[in-house]
Amino acid sequence: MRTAELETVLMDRLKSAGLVAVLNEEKSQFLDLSDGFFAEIVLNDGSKLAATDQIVRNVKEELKEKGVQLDSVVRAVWSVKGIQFIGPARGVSGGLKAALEFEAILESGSRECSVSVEVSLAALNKLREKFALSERVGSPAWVREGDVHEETLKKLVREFLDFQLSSGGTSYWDPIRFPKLELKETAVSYLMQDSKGFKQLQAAIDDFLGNYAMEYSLRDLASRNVRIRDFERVLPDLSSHFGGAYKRGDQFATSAVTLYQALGNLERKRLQQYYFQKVAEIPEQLK
Amino acid sequence: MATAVIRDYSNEFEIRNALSRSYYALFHVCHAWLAMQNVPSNRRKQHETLIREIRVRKGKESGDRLDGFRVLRKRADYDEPEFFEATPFGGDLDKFRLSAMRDQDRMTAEFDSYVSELESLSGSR
Repeated sequence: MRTAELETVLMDRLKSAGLVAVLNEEKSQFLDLSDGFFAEIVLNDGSKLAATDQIVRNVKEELKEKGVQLDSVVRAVWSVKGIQFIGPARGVSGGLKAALEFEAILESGSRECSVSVEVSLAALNKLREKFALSERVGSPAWVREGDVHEETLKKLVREFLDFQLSSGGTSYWDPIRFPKLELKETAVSYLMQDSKGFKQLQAAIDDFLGNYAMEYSLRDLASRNVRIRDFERVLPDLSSHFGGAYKRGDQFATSAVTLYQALGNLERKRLQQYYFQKVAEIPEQLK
Repeated sequence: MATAVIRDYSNEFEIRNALSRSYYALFHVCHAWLAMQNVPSNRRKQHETLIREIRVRKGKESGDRLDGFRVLRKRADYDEPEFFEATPFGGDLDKFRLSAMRDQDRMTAEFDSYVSELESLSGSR
């Protein structure tokens, strides 16, 4: 049997059942795995999942009798319809968990389903860092005023769900069978990535105040009467500490000052906080 | 991936080199991701078999994207001099650089998404 034959068999059955109209041809696939076949049937309407699944099961059984192995995935394309904030997450026993709970409604054609997303405290703290809310970092409670905005949290939950729903193949997420997700710190890092400029400046600070360069950096600043806490005056010195692919002495298109000015207000604030945190870690006798 | 840099003044050699290295970074992170999914090593060693496994485990679109990057890397490494001199670049280094930067951004985004999943998988084990 060839892949094209398998595809014809499955497509004919789906056609007879009136399911071809909801088939997503761009995402569906049929593969020859040398020890068998793999079929991924993707639908634009979640209400047709059970009927489609039954057809694929039948074909699988028929092929098995002929000694042909077929592995399959039948899934639907879902999109996020709406998200609402529920409140602090609760465990099975009703006790409070260190997380915030959101409920999302997903839709696929005429079918809808509800899923729960718990934003962990570690993820919330990462967000607080990203939004330069250092005074809130570590606080176990989320507050409406002066903390990460509810709308920001909802936006993050939406992006997280979009990301989860973007995977196909055998690792796809089935929101009907697994309606609970946890949004962890690593997801925040991925979904809210720092700009290239921020990363370069942050790495330059690490190098400037790192074990190898710190002594020289401090001596150089002292010789020019620049205080280590005077961020604006220290900033130009970071230009010669762009690491990684930019070696010292290598030509670099942008100075640290230009790069800093190109950052948004939030990243500037965060970079300053990062710098002062690094300065605070320097032993007093060296400052 | 961090060392595969295309700068505003990168020449043809540096651009080709960065595209090739970006693809290999992506190839290796896919290899690690498949290992975390318990895919046997003989199914993730060769480019074609690894891409097929990505199709099975992560879907057609992910497999197609990775295959597109594989073709790009092959052209960057071996397609001499047509890749740069023929349509659509016509030997225009700026056009070539800009297009390569976009391709590299796409590869970086893909790479980051696998890294994120790997971090989350290793954190939950």
